[in-house]
Amino acid sequence: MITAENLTKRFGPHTAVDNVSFVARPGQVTGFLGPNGAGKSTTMRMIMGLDRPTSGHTTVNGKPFASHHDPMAQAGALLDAKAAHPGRRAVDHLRLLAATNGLPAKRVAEVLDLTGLTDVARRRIGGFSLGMHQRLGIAATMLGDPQVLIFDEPVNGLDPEGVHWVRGFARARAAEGRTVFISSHLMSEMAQTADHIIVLGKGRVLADAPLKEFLRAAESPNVRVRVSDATVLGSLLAADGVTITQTAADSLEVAGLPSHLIARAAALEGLELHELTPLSASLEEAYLALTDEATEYRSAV
Amino acid sequence: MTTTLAAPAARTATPTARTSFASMTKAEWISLTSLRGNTIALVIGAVLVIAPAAGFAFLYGKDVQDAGGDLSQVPWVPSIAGLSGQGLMFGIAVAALIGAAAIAKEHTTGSLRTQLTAAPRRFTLILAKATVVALTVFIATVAILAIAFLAALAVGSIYGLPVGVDDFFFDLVLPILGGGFFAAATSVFALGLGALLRSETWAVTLSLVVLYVLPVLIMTVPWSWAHDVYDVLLFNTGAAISTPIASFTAAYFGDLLITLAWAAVAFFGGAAVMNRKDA
Repeated sequence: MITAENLTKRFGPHTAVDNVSFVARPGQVTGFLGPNGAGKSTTMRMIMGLDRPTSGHTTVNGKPFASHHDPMAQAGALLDAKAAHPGRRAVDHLRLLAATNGLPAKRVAEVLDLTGLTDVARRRIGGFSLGMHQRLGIAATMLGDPQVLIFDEPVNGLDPEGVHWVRGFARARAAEGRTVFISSHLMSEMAQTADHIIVLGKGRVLADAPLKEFLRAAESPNVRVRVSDATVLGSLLAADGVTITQTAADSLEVAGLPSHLIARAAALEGLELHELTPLSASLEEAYLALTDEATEYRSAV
Repeated sequence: MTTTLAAPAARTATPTARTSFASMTKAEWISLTSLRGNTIALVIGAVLVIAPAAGFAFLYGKDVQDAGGDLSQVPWVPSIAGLSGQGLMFGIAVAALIGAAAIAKEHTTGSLRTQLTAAPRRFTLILAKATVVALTVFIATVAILAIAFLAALAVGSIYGLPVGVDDFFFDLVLPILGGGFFAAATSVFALGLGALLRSETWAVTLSLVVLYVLPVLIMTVPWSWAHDVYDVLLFNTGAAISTPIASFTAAYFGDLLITLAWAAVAFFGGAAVMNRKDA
């Protein structure tokens, strides 16, 4: 379990994380979603004790992470896959990390096997591809068999096989009852992995809900209608809670009415229907709408 | 990568994790010995200490030989014990390099951050690092200085150079141990600077400036206090404890303490910065 309470981090005049509170629960994959620069990595760094919060605090399994005597059994974090000495062999990198917590050397062999790195274990990390870096980082998080896993953008730069593997890995660990906390800037990625979603924008929590609710909210009841006389149909459908937008002489967009009622109204009036299409906004569009105002970097086009 | 993967399965048996100074020390030993750069530095350091010892023994030996073996005909003949420590200054430079790299290189590569996510207690980490680096540098320097003496002895005795060891402890053992202490203190001094500056390049540069440039600068200053400052500079106190003495004196222990103080001040300064700043 991870908690953050009123977490704030300022770098000079810039507020990277602004009064953020949330809980990531065991047995779930919690997706931490937001555009680049939203403060996801900074929040994760504060959870792991790398950055000191300006105010507020975080706990991992009930205590600040740094106060645990068995940190690797509490949480494993992959914050930056490239954060390893390029001159060190992969196996030595893992031996070194295992030794910090007095873990037996056989754990190193086990996590190498778990992440499919056994064959390249004797290679120096400097020659690794990004995908191998990610796997090595994930291997390191599993050394202490921790209750909490924190992955910052783990699928970045991975090939489709790698992405599939990370998804399966995260789901499997959550199914074992662990807390899995994954950040991403892609809603589509999270929709396939997460049970619960926390959306961050400009350092603030914009949404915190189960994925299901997110999906429901994303379903727009808009219906596109093409009809012989859009003006007539429009005036027929006008009612409280119904929004009608005439987009052309023969077409309307109707919000707040199910398709069959629109069809019945047209039939009763003797109007000829050419099209009746329910429009559902994609999850990605819902996410973009949510973070639109809260995007730190925006392209000019 | 095209490795075919089995379905992810997490564990065989639950290991017991526990972090402590002892476990961190073991990790730092792996950290230090798993880098080729450190092995290369050690070999270069050994060559730079042993080669001058043997080389000077050869040069002075030739002088004595040219004079027909008559020591009174040669203006100045150093003892074998005296010239076997000639290369120590190179060894000290290598010790600074190893100390600075042990923290600053780990910092710039991000390895230190990864290590802190596994063991977040920062003071324990830097203390374990300094302990391992200091002990390793001490043992290596003592061994290398002993080999340097034996090399100089092997070459010098061919030409009949005086050995210069009247008292085995004060003329040979103590200077070698002192040289090891000087090198270990220098490595911790550089490690402290590495933690303060978070840059291997600047930590090494500043260490070498303090060791080799500062004494020269201080000596050119015309004020009288310059000599007092000169006496407490790391290179002078370090050199003082690595040369033969007749017996233990207050000045000797003073030099020992000041050498230690250089290391301690840099270490605690570096540790304070590491504790306070975001990693």
